[in-house]
Amino acid sequence: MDAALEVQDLSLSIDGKQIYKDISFSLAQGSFTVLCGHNGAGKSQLLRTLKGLAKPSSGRILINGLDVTRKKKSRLSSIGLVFQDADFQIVGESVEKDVAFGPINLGWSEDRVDKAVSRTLAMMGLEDKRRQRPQTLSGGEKRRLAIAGVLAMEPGLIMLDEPFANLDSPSTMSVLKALADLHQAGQSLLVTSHEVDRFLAHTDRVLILEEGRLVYQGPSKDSLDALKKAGVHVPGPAFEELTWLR
Amino acid sequence: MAQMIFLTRDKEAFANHCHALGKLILLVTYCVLLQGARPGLVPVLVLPPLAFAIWRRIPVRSYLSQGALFIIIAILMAVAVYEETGDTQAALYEALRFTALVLASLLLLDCTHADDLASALSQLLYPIFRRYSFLAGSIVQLTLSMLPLVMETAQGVREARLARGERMLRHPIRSTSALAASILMTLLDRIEHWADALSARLYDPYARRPWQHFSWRDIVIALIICAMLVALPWTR
Repeated sequence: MDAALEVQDLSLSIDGKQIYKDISFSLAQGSFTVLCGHNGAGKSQLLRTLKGLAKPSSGRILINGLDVTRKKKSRLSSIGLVFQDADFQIVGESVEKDVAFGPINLGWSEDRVDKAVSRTLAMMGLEDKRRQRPQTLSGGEKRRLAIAGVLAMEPGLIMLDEPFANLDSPSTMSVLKALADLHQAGQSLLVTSHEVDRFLAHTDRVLILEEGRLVYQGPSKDSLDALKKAGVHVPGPAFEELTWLR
Repeated sequence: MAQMIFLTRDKEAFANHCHALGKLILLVTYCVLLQGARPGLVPVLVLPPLAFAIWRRIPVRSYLSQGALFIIIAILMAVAVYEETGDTQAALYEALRFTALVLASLLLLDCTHADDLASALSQLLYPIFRRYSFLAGSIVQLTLSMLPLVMETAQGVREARLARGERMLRHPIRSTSALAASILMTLLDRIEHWADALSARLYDPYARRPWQHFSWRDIVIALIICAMLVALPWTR
């Protein structure tokens, strides 16, 4: 089976500044991968490039074996991106209208849009909030709404930029549970975060980015030493303990 | 104020289910009627929106507290008319006329989502402008969606500067220009993120948005519009 995403020697420079260089990795279908790195390592820019919001300087991006490096629209529709700040992503006047925004832009029929909205709101536990204004939701609910908005477009891969940033413990757990459920359902996920102690036990693979270079990639279980070496806080010695879902 | 203007309350009410286009034409007709009506009729013409506001149970306290700007404008209008004519009654009627116009507009927004208004506009323009009507609808939709963002950003920047001890009255020109620059820079940053969010979800301003369907309720709206048009010559 072709990889959900394959990246070959991807580089990005903006105004002469190298943001990242020669990044190569692949994500298996249904995998849950975490991309770690310090602030400014180039994680967010890498996600923006993969999504199609930035143009790479060189390299190739393949989705399901197809080269989509120059096909921005293919990347926009087949890869979902949940922004670091959910407030920037929410554009609808109500919860259901926000979730319907992407499917309507894809040109789906009214019936298909309705079904997608109901299904994703149920998956994210937001059914009872569908008529509410997004501004009235809590931080965790907003983050789940942002995920629902992306999920409704049925992308092959969902990328989340720091999904636990600025969330309290219950909100973190609600978002984490949603991600674990999506992974269980076979959804491919790529998450950037430096708070790996919250969810590492649920992931399959770790990528570590340092100053724009990919310095490590391997199974999550074997990544603890590499994470510590890269300065990522990993509190416990046991891999299975690295989750907030208990 | 942005919160008040753009807050549509979802209710299982008659007005919420009417077509946005019908409501928009109703508002325009009412405004024409009110604007051209002789002063003595103004108190009578104020009654329908007032009754409708009571029937919808609008949050009066929040409308009053957030709509202070409109109240100030109404007072200024009354003062200006009084200065010009010396007629207290005429001044009061002008203020009342303006208040009724604002109230009617707020009632429209209270029961109509901004994107329904935008799609109603494209529906209206479609027979003439075809795909450009969708662009017009998108511009209205984006503008209405952006206004709360602008207000929120302006308030946030202003509060941040006040919290750090800025006294606007000490150097008003310098402070105002610095405040405007800060708001603009913050706004550009936020709009850039917003544009990314729209692109990420494949937003196309030329794409056809779903149109609302007409129902039996719109016949009632059409009848009210006809009644107002018929009454128009007698109100002059």
